[in-house]
Amino acid sequence: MSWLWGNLNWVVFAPLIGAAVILRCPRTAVQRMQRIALVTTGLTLLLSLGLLTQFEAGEATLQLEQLRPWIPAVNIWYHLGIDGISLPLVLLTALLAFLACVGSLGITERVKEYFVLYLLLETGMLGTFVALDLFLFYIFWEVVLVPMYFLIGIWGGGRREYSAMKFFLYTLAGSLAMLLGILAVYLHTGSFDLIALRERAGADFPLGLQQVLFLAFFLAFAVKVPVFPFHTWLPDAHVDAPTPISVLLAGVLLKMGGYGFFRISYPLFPDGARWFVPAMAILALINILYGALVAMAQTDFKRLVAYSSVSHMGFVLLGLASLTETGLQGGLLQMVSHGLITGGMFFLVGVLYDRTHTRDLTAFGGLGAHLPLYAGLLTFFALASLGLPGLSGFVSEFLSLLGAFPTQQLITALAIVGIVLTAGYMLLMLQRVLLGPRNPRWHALPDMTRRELVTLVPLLLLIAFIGLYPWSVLRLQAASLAFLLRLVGGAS
Amino acid sequence: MIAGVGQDLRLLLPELLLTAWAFGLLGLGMSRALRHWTTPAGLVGCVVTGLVLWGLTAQASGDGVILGGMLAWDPVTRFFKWFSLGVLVFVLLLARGDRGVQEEERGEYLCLLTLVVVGMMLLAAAHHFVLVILAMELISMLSYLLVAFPRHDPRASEAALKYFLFGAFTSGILLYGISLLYAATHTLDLGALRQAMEAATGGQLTLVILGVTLVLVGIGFKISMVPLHLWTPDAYEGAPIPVAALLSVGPKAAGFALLVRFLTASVGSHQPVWLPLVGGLAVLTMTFGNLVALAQTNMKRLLAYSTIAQVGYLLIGVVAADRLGYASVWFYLVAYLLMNCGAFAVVSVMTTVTGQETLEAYRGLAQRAPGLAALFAIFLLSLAGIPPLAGFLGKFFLFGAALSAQLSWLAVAGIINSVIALYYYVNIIRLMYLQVPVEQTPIAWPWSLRAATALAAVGTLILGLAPSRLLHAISRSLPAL
Repeated sequence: MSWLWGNLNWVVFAPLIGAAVILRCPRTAVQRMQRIALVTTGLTLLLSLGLLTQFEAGEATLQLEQLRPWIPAVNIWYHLGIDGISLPLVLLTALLAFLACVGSLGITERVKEYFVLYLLLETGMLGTFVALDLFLFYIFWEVVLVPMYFLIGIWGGGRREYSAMKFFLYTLAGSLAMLLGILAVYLHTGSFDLIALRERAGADFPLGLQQVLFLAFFLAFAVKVPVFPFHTWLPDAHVDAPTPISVLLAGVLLKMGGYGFFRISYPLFPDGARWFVPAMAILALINILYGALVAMAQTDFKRLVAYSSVSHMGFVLLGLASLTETGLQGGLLQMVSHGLITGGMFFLVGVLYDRTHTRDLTAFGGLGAHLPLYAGLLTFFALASLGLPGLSGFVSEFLSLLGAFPTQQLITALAIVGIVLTAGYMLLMLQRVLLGPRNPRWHALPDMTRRELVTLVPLLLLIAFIGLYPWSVLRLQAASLAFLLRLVGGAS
Repeated sequence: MIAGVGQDLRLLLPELLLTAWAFGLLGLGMSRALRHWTTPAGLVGCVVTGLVLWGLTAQASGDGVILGGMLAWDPVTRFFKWFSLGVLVFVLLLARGDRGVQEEERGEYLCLLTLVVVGMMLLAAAHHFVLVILAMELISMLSYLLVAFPRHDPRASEAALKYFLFGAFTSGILLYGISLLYAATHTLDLGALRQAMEAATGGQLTLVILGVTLVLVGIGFKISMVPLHLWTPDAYEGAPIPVAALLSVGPKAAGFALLVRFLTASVGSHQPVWLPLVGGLAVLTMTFGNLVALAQTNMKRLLAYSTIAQVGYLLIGVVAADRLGYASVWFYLVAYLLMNCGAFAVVSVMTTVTGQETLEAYRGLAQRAPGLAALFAIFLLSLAGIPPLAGFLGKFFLFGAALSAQLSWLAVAGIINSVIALYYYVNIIRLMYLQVPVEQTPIAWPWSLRAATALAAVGTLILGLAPSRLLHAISRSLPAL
């Protein structure tokens, strides 16, 4: 079974095969296409769990590699592999893609196109996390853009066309800067291979060039994360995307940016990274505080969650800026944790929106007594988001702060304010939605359906599990992050 | 040098064969009974010429100049002969689906199209200014005729007239430039020009500089380089679609071959002067093309400005002026041939079916004709440079060539332009996919256009995903430096 189990090719391209099968279905066979999509994403999830069983957690090297020449004339290789940095994100992606696929069963319009694009998107996302050749990485990175554009633009709401185009233009502008960076790396070293390049640890690049290259890659990743001031596409795209796509946007796409720092910027340009760290810390702080403050001012439920993402992703940046192992652990875990929590939050916003067709927080109230299941879940995810101890968000944010404190004391101290602000807007949101007098408009709202529970309960369990037993994930990451830290040469 | 006129003519066989075939098509078109066989006959001609060319290439007779130094027989010429044949295949397929041309005129139409391709082959091979002029005039004269081919369409006549006036003017400038170069160097041979130019001093040098500028103007007209692009949108809008497709790829590619030959073989030590100039014009060309394309509402005009922008990208490789630069120009030309002809094929279907050329006609196309819309989306995304399509890899090499030649500013200009261009390409996709169709009737399209789009789409994907073979072929088709 080794050709299937623990084979990265299948993990990445299984969704594409599913898409090809759906392409051959007649337009009207909605149920069949839904089933194929579910089976495909489910199988992909199983296959990615298979990676977990084959993975040696103590090793910092790349595992389960696939290596084939692709365009030998320019030394481009088809090179896949995972390590402790990518594995948690691959699992997160496969899980969210499956759950969001369950959530997509509510899509009734142009179903065929939807699932084809959806599965293409999944291939792009998974490929980004396992590609070890810069060129291949770029291809997967860009393959994500096109389906995402359509998914927001066709099935979204509000100003969907505007938001989809804005998303496309912003990310492409960032990616193209990265493309120049990739070309410059190749012209200096003759290689696109991330592993070979990382072993050189920036020895090929003088400091000035490292700084330029770091900035080129930074532009691409900063748009994706998003780092203030490149974040303005995010609220539009997240709000106007359909629910399952918002889940993937927040849960996976933002992580592609964070992952880029871990996989490319830090190991390839260590001097550039150290040079940039002070700026990174300040940007992290701005993200945390600015995101939280703006979230606090929102009356649109979805926009609030969108801005909370800006704030939460700030902790990833803070972890990166710490240059300590604890901080990097926290930053990477925060990506997983935020994916789970915010994914859940977007599902919950979608649940309410499906029933009321409004996201105006002032229009709700008193739903707590009326929808007990919903209230329970919303409370759980809101508490997870504000960093309640015992849940995953607490562990990751705490580790980020703990790791950053020795190297960035002032900024860490200020960042703690962000947690207070998060508690502020999350509790305010809970109060507006669940407590207070009941709006008579919503007297006949049904509670959660079984399908909605299926999408949320796995997330809930994982958040609690990671919160109680964070070593389960940290264990996977530890060796790779320690190796990364040695490359960058920060304090241990 | 290869000896013997007989041997020389043998190497000219592809051109001779195509010329004969063109007149054969003309004759075929006169016969009422055989008329509808013109397109298949033309395609057979392409195959036969291809076989002959293959045979000549395989024999690998030594490179050199033939017919007393008039024409070159070298890897570059062979590459462009293949390229021209590819253009001809697409143009024949497109012309088959063109309803604008009367059935009894089809033979004449295809004859002219084929002869333009012969002109392209000659221009790419020209090694002597006399032949440069002849080949260029052959292409130009036939192009004027082809643009004006729908005789009763006043738009076509207007376009042809504008094209002609502009073209005649730049031809004059080109001739004048060549005469100045001749006065300064006493030679018209591109091989001997370099030494003579490098030896030029004082008053001669002034003549050389003036001459080179004027020759560049002449070539710039052919490839639609800003500020010599003015004819392009009008000509495309008025011309029948197959002709617009041909003009957007064929003469441009031949122009690039000539430009590269002229710059490598002649300019020599003057490179530091000319290359930055051409680089500046490249930036102007792509920026102007893209910015104006943003405002277009007519699909043919939009594609015309998009062509201008693409020419700007291509010039980057010319300015890089090394193996990587030329290789990326060659690669991008092939990619451009595929994606642009594909796009024109789709426009041809839409214009025939809806009778409209506006962007509005594409509203909701994805629901009306999913296959057609998906193909168009592939071509547009490739033109925009989105991976894993051919256009992306082409840009990848072009920008790489710029960086490797220490021309970062050109690469950055290319990147900024790619973002601008994304908007208008994706805008068409937005209309097709994100909007509701005005009309629901499904769209029927002929086999020839299906074949053209399928060929182009498959090529666009293969070039993007598995370009190794083409890269290998290109690496053996570069000019000697």
